[in-house]
Amino acid sequence: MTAAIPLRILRGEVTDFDTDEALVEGLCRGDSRAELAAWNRFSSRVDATLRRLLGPGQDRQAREDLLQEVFIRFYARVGTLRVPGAVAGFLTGITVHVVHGELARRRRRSWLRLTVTGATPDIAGPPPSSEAREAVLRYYQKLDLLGAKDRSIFVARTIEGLTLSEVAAVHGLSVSTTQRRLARAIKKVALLVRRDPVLADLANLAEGGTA
Amino acid sequence: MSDDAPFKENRAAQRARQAEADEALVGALSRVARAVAAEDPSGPSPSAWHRLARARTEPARSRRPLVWAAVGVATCASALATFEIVRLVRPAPLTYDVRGVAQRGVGPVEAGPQGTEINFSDGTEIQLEAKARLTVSAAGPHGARLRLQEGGAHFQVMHLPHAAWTVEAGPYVVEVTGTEFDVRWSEGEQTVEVKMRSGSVRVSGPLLSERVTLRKGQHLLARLGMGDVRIDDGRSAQVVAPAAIAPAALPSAPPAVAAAEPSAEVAAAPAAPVVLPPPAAPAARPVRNAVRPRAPRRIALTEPAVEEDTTTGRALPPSSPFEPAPFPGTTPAPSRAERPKWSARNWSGRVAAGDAASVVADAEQVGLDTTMRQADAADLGALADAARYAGRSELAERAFSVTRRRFPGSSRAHTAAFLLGRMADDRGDARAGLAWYRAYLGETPSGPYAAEALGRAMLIVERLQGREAAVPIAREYLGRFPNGTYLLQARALVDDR
Repeated sequence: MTAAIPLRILRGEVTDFDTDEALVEGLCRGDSRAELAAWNRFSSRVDATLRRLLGPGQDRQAREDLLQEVFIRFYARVGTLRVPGAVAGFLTGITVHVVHGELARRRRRSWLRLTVTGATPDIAGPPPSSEAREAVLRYYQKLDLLGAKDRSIFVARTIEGLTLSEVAAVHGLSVSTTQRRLARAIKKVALLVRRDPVLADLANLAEGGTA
Repeated sequence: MSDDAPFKENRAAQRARQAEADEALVGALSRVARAVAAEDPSGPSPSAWHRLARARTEPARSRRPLVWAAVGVATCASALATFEIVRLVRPAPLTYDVRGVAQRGVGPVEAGPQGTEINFSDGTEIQLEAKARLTVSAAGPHGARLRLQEGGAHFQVMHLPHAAWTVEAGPYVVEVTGTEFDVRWSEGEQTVEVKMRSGSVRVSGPLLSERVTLRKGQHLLARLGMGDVRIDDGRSAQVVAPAAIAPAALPSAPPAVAAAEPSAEVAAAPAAPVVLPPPAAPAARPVRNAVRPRAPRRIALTEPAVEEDTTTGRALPPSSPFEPAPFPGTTPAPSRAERPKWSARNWSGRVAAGDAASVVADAEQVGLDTTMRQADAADLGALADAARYAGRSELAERAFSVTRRRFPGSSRAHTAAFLLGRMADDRGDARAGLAWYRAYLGETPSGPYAAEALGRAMLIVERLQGREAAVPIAREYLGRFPNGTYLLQARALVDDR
């Protein structure tokens, strides 16, 4: 499938902020053009991160709500960014945080039976279009069996690909604690995957393919 | 993966291989997940930015109104349920009727020419004499606070569990649990009279240094104007306390009580009438009840919350340390003619500026007696502080004593109790210090010096009575002030048991 090119809003002189440093400076000044420039530059990346963290089958509207939340927090906290060049990592951290909070909220709502079925809302989306999508959907369902924080740590490290220290920093944990929780999460997920024949087959196939 | 693993491999190696396999498994699936995620159309919809911009311009509006509405409804329901439970558990306040008309809450009652009867829902009856005036100040489930404003009344209070009634007559307070008695108050003559028919009541107020327990047949007559109080059994006078003396004369008054002796309530026995000599007489002493020697009987010569030792000039500690100071309203206000004229001197500002010596000098220039008699509470407190800072501890104690006597029940009076205790404690008079600390804690258990008073009291009790006696205080200290200054000492006392 060919990835669609996102529509960019080219309003204002966004070229004024062609470096991250200039962008951060503009944001710190409260320049609305810098805000638009940041959106244009990072929204697709953040959206992709959201898709990876949340898994397939997410309602697009719900995901864009989270995207908005990420940028609202980003604009509010950009003044705390110590290294202006690290905007992308800063945004990823905020995104992980937002997703963690959102999933925890969904769990609470599920626990309170605020949904009709009691299942975590917004997880079950449209039917998967392929076997791989179906398997990935099942994979994310296994991940949802982890605790909210463990799931966040697991996804940030194994799917989003953050370094261990980045994961630790985002979650406000020490590296050793993060490592311990990650190892525990991996062990549990692997166990769950092995018990699921569809996932086990896919894993064997993927391992064989990459070996 | 490990089916063909050699049995001799140690468990650590097995675990390491297992972890590697797990990582490989989830790594493979995570790669697939990333690939699937990349298949989705990239980037947000074009309207996302506009919605973001709009959301940022409306930050105050809640984005989860339903959730907040649900929280609000739940909170209201919870509050309602709590209210209902409290309402069911807690009995309703008493009601009463006057001349057959039901009343609820508080309100005044004025008797007609033939008198009036008030009937409370618990069976308590009050018969007001003609023209008498009484106010129901507060009505609770187990009693009421009544204020006899003028005239006489007969009270027949039902003796029920937890019954708690108080009758205020001028500056006097009669505490009742269940009994029959008469009270008369004359505003013009400033005279209160309590006559017991059955049971007992406790009376407190000016001219009584402690609450006096009156029993069946006893009669109390206090004449504020004349400064005397009489308790008798209806046949002969038991105690007559002479007129109150001026504050300035107090330092020359004899000691009224042995220091630091925790007092029992004064129990007036009908027999053994005693008449106190006038206060100026050197032999004036507190009266110890001849019938009940274990319960020391003390009748104050005036209404002092503080008594002083003339030989040392020091304030004597309160004999009833756990008993709070009388309420401000219980001390008769001086008449307009007697009211001292004092122009504020802003001594507190000078003390704050470090000029304590000049405040003491100023007071001496005005005259210490005059100052003690006329100074307002602020200047008197400042003088006490200035005297402390200037090393004039006797003057400080005198100022604190006068503060307690002239402004009873005030925060300055409470603070004076603590500082008197600390001064006594610091000069080695531990018993006096303990009594003052207890007085302070009794008057204002949560006052600003409560932690220090309790901690110091704990140490004194340990010193005087041993560790075992101090342990309960240490426990209380740890419970109330877990980060207090005396934490370590308290913990040591509790742990070393």
